Amino acid sequence: MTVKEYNNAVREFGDHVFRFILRSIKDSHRADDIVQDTYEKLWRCVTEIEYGAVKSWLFSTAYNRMIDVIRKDSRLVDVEYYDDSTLYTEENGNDLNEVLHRALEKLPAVQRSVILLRDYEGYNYREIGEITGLSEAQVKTYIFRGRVALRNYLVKTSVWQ
Amino acid sequence: MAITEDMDFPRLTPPDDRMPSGRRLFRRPAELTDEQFDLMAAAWAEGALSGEAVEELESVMTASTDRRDRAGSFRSIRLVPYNENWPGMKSAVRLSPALTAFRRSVIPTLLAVAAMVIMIIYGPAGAKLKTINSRGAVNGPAMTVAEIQVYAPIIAVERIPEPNILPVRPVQTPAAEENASQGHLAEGMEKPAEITGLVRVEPIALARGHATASSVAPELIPAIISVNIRDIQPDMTLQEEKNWMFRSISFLAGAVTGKEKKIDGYMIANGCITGINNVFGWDMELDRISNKSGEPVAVTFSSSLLSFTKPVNKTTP
Repeated sequence: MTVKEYNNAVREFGDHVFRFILRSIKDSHRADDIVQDTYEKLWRCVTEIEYGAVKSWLFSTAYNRMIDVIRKDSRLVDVEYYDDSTLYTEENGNDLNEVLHRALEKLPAVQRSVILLRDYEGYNYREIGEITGLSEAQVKTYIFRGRVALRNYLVKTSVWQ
Repeated sequence: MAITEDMDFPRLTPPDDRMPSGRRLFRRPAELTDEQFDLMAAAWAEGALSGEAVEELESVMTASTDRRDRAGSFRSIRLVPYNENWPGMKSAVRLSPALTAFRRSVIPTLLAVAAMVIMIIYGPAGAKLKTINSRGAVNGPAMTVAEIQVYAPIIAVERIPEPNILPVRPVQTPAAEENASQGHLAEGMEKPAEITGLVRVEPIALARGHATASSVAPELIPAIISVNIRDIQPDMTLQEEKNWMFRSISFLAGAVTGKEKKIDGYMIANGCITGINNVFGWDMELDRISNKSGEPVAVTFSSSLLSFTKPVNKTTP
């Protein structure tokens, strides 16, 4: 990848990677740091990466960096068992997208990430598996369970009757 | 369709979602629980179901309007990204190595040029100013400034409020002090060479030829008499000032290159002047005069405003 292609990758995918990380951890400063670290890492091995594969590489590197940060901060909830007793609160907002994003924050980190990759970036299950290091079956399971959780949130918070 | 246990991640499969055992090996579509149906509906809304699974789910939806609506609701659960921009994008953009090298060379060069210009203007070379234009002169002719040779440190500068009297009075010369007290400054102005080598005075408004103090525009006089060079240390000689200039250039060169180099003052100054000419389109020249053996003996600077020649002192850079 040339310097020009690297700069294209910054301009074209920087916002995408940032909002994916931001929506995953809800901390703009940390999200900024993670994306900066990701591009710094890309710059160090810029000649070894093809431009066609750089988007997946960016998301994968940023995702792994985010998991490291979350684990370091001991903020990672158990991805398999999580307490949903605090999941539902009364929703007053009418904007479905806004409510969905609030519901997304209450999902386990892995479910949140795969749903974001699916909805924001339109990746297929195999690509999401490559980015997150999960199998395709795991990706499907996480996405479907995440959708069910989002729907239940909408129903139980009276957004949907 | 029976939902089998996920062998990659078995805990993801809920406890009541095991395959039926015994004689009821296969589960009928109508026996799907709500949770099982939701999972299938989510997959159906994603377009991830195929074959028998789709047929099974559609048969359930056909049988139950409630479940059809329930499955349809999954289609609207899609997150739409907000327009969130990455604030650190600009800092991540990289310059090409050639452009980086260009910027790293041009900016220090411009800084060095600026420093050189400042030193030329405010340093000892400024005292060599020969002529300046006086557009504010009442009677038309350009105001001239006498050149006063300076070899001794500055002694004192005194401000005289009268607009038609020279604002400078050298105090170490008894004759000059006597002339000043008797109002004979006009004679002193006509013969500036007589006080050469005694004291250093401000290079302002000394008349030569027919010009007199009265030919200076009245509005310029306060500005002229306010000129002050007390900021320069009184005990700093001309040679020390030159040494200070070269030490400054050496420091700048060291800061730019990051390593110690042998100082060639002429090369530095010539590079600065060339840079200034290129940037501003000026026509300044700096020439080195050498003797027969090739050793530099003097340096000549010339421009439309200023020209001087200085001998090269071999003992100091």
